Amino acid sequence: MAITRSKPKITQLIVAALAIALCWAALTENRGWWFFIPVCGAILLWLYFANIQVPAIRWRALPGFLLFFARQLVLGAFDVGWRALAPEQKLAPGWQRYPISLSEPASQRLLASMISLLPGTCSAEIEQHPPQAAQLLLHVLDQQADWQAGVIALEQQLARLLRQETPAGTTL
Amino acid sequence: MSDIGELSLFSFVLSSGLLFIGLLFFIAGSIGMLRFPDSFSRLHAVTKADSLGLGSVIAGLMFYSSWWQNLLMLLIWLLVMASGTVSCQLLARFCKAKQDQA
Repeated sequence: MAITRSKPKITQLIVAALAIALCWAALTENRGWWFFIPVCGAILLWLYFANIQVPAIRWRALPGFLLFFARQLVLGAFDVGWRALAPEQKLAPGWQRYPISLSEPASQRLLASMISLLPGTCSAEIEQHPPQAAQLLLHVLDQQADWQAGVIALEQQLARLLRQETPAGTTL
Repeated sequence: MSDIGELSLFSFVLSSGLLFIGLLFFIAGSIGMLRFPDSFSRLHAVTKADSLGLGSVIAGLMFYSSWWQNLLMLLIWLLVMASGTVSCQLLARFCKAKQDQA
């Protein structure tokens, strides 16, 4: 897979500048903005001339994605907290494989990282066997539980959010 | 107690509740780490319960701080979540490789 890097678009640079400004405000107690301007300019020039792509996202899908992720985070923490505190343990841990339908390696890695925050799943490895689709090796806390639904939902949400991916359904 | 005097009763109760919930999640995660049978299940307990626990503690602390401090805490939370999931994945991969060797 040959990856040709193109120059970041102006909107991507503006988003990057906003993110850098927020980090600056947090890290410097909201001071020293006169020094921020040359630093930010230098970073943006570097992003532009080194062809570094800030991941492009579909903004319309962002609120839905954040809500979904927050909900899954809360459910996951409740699930694991309940299992930890329950008097008798209901665990059936085991390994499972899940075929990834996202195409870009970067999005596959993002999926693998976010799966660890979903209820009952924790990713260990992305197995690449070039002719077939990439597979995710998952550790599942309870094999009787429906862990696939959460992973599939997260994958769909990521496909809707990231511009490099094409979502399966046409409805957006 | 002088800081608390500036808050209304409602926000004081809300922030205390959030801090308490965060504490509960940390405790649940730690108990899970002790009780779960194998190292992979323990990783589940630490990453999930602690990331939500820290988020809840940060939400509770937000009532006491200025906006840039809130921003800093949010940044810390995001970094902790990101490093938590990534290190969970790396630890699981390492344990699995070691298990397969043995």
